[in-house]
Amino acid sequence: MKAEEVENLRKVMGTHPVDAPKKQTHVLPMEATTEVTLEDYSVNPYRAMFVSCVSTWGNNEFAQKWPLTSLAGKLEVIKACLCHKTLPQAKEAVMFTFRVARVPRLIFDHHAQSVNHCFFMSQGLRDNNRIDADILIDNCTEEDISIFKDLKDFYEFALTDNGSWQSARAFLPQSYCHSYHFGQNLLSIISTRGFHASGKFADTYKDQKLLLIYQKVAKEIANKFPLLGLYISMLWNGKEEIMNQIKELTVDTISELDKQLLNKLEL
Amino acid sequence: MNIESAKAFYNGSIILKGAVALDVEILKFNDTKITYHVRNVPIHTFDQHARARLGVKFYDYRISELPVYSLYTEVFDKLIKNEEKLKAFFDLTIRLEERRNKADFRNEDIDSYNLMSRNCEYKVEQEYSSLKGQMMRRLKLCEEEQIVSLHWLLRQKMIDKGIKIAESFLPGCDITGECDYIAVSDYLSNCFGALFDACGRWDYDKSVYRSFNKSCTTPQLLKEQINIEIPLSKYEIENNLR
Repeated sequence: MKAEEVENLRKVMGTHPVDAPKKQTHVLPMEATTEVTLEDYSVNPYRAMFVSCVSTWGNNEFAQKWPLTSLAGKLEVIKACLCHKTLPQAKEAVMFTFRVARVPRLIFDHHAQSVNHCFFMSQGLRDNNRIDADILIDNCTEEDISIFKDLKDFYEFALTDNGSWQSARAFLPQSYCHSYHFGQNLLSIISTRGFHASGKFADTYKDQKLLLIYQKVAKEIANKFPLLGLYISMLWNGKEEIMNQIKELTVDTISELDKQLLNKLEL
Repeated sequence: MNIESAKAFYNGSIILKGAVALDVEILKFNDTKITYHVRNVPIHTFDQHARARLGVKFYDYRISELPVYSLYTEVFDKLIKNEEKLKAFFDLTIRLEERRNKADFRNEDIDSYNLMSRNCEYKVEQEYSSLKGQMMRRLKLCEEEQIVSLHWLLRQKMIDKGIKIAESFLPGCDITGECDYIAVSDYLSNCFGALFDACGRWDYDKSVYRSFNKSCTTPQLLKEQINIEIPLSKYEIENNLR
């Protein structure tokens, strides 16, 4: 790798020696700081679901069915899939990658440890100087601010005499600001709290914060795929109510974005 | 304040050096899987360990009710050499504990006030096929000291129980016969300079820039803290090292 490419990578990653972060400790509520962005996704999730759902049928030729099916026909198959009237695997064909910036570390751990069938890649506490880490808690008091600033002084103390970032993490609370990427398929998303939205987020701090992340996930997905955004809202809205809304959709009432994808023949 | 070589305590708060208090107990095992109980490790070690997802189940995770902290050896040594700082840290843990005890579970969660070094315990049920891969990574001394200690101690306890497969559990670098922390030229971290120095188990390029010019974990540390002698690598034997 050329030296200038290494230099560029180091600048982007924030590991360049001249880019050492400045000491700071803002204490903030999660709602005000957390950002979720859709980083990558299946090219046409409706096509992926459709072809998976109709795999059962076909003769010896097993023709490509997407270009041969009418718009209304495709929509009926997608609606059946989203109303859980088909085999569930079709939803595994739809994959998303998200960036989740600035959540309390304990919420990342809760996410990674309590949701299955997804992958997580997060900021390393060994790999980065987190002297700039904010603290994300609600209902912050003056004493909280004082305690967390004093803890950051110990983080700084740990770094003296070439102390490592790894060792200094001993002084970070689980509410320090952490960021990550995760990938999850549609079946896994809708099963985040029980298969096919059979469960709900609990009334606990951690689960309510995780719900906040999934509401942002749904919003990001809805910007690209409105029907899927509606479907994912089953995670916190009434399941039957959302299914009824989906069942009532027709080619005349679906969004223009969804219609374009249902009509799209090329990849 | 009471200060011992590997422990200090004051007003209910306790700090421990590295992995000195680590305990791994094998609860049961058969031909395909093992169940073990890990005690006295910091939360960040559980977080690292619990990243394993295939063929493994973590349960009964409990964070210490008492303010007990397992600090990295480097940090522990630095604190006990500086009495003023040590006293200030103990005072801070007491303030932190008071705030933690006032936390409303529903609205703010007491975990927000746990340090990453606060002790915890948990149980693990794991298939050997899953454990073997995990051992290849976590027995390597380029990993952090508490997770490395945990895996060497588990390996030793398995051998003591007659679980034959554990004898084949070795650091991944022993399979390739080269240092895969620094010597592999296309490893992504090398784009940024290695974080730590290599442990010396295998030969490596000593010209690579290291952010911290020391090995993350050493055989000496494991011997001192969990009383386990790491077997020598072929390279160490041939070159009469250690």
